[in-house]
Amino acid sequence: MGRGGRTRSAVLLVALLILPGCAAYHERMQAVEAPLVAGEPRKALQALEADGENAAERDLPLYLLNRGLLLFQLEDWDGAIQTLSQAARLLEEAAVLSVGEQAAAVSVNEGRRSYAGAPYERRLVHVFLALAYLRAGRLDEARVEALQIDLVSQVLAQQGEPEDPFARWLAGMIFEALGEWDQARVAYRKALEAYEDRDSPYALPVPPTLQRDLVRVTAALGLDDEARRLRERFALADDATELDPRRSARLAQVVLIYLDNLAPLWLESSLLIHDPESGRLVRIALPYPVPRPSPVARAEFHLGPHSVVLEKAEDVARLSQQALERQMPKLLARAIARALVKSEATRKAHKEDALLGVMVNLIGVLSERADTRTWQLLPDNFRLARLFLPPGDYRGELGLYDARGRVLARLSLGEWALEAGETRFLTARWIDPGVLQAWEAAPDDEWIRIHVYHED
Amino acid sequence: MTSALRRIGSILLFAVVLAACATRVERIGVDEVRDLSGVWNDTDSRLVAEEMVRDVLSRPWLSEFQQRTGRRPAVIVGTIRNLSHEHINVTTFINDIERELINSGRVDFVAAPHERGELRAERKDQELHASEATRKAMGQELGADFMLQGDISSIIDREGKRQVRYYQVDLTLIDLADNRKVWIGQKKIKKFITGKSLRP
Repeated sequence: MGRGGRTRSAVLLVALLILPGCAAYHERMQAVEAPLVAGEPRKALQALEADGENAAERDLPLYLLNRGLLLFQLEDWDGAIQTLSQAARLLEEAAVLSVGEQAAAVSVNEGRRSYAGAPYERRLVHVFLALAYLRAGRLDEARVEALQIDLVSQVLAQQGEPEDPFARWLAGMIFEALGEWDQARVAYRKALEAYEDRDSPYALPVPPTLQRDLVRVTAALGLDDEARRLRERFALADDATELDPRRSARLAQVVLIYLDNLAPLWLESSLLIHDPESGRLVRIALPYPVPRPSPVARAEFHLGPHSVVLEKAEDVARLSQQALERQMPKLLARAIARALVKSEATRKAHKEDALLGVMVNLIGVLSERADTRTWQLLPDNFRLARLFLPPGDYRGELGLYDARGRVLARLSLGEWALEAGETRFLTARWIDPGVLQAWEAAPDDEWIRIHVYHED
Repeated sequence: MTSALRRIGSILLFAVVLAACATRVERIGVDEVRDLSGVWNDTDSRLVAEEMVRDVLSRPWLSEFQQRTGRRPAVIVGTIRNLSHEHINVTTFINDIERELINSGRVDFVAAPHERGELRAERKDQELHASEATRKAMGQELGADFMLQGDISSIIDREGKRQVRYYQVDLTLIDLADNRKVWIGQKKIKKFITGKSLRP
């Protein structure tokens, strides 16, 4: 075999190594989401595990995040805890810069880097761990996750990332359930400030439940003046049971956290350019978000004769979109750098052998894929409700209604005997059967125009 | 010559790459200290247990009890809570404390509540099935004189790749007769950890 033949064989070998890994993440996830939406999370887990068998090590953190969430939905608390703990550790390791992966990202595609997760995902993994421990009845270990939320928030704050109010609120509820009023008050205060931060993507109208939580623990600490000021600021009635730590201690509490629908998909937008002078092809591929908003306009939690409307605690869809927008300048710069690297490789190969040049050009074009990896099994948003009830036997139900007040679903949450002073944490999830249509949705041309091609 | 050198170089490089890919297992002594990530580990658990037990046994409560009663005190380990940032296996720490106390030969140790259930079931079973000569009667358990309680807490100060992890173990020995605290022990561990700046 001549030198040209050997080089062509080597190029083919490289192509065989690179191209099979180029099936985009969002394409593979369709097989997981279909059974999940059909209400079969176990089949979704099997599909994910089948895909995970061939997954590269760099995709392992994301595989574990999705697997942990499916185990969570299957109420396999130990499995979810083990899987998400491993994911959290790998995310921390992947946050360290890799020279080799950076080089691969500017020569092959973005997906050659280990998945390090968006900042909100790095915090939410601890939120789900805390919830799994709470559902397993392991309050002390949920407390460890509350401290982990604090630790991750400190690290993210050093990188300019704003506070996550929902994570702080949950941490506060864990501390309060353990009777640690001072820690709970600090966490509730941070949650309040984060919801009110208008520049933050986490900002939302402050949930009235959080206002009452803050007043109650402030009063429990004996800070009566501060509690009164907060009551006046939030315009809360003086005689509400939830505001009185002594009266509320004689009741049982139920906290329901509802996971609504699915987080946005990241799909691929690509541009194929033919250079008429050289005859070469240049492809640029970048991700864009496809939100999957929920049709649920109102979620109502019923416990015996008591009922309460859930309040929005976190808008994950907005966080996902904002995370991609923030990445876009770097992604675009690397996509241009990659196009130049691949073009130069094609030129050199063409000089050696015309057929080799065509092969290198084709490999460059085919390997150019957008990094569409995102923790897309997260919910679109979190909603929360807290009820104070006299001790006794209760049956729980969650009613979901659309904007016209029509029932979308009624979810049974189980039956329990609640004792005075007890705080029971519940979780529920519902996915709109129509959510799969998002896969077929036409690209959001305006988002792509503004964020990908920077046309104002 | 150059070609031969290149070939040798390639073989060496190949060997190095292969060696880097292989999993290597090395047996090390259980007393050998190897900190991998800086989190609470078996060495911390063992060293803290040893030091705190040494301290508790050197304090006046022990000799006072022996003078007063003429026997060794019976101790039970109560709740030791993990209030740290990590999922610490408290059972391992409790086992280390129990081992050190029992092996000192200066105190008697009684079974913890979760262990007693199984022992009582066995005695109940013996009442029906064991011979009279070997049967162990109910109601003959040794009641504990003191209970050891405590917690493990931590403070983490982190900036960039560097962090200081500070652990504090607080243990209290309480007289079960009158709730008197007869000993308070404290052990602190501080670790400075520098994370890696680059991955391969």
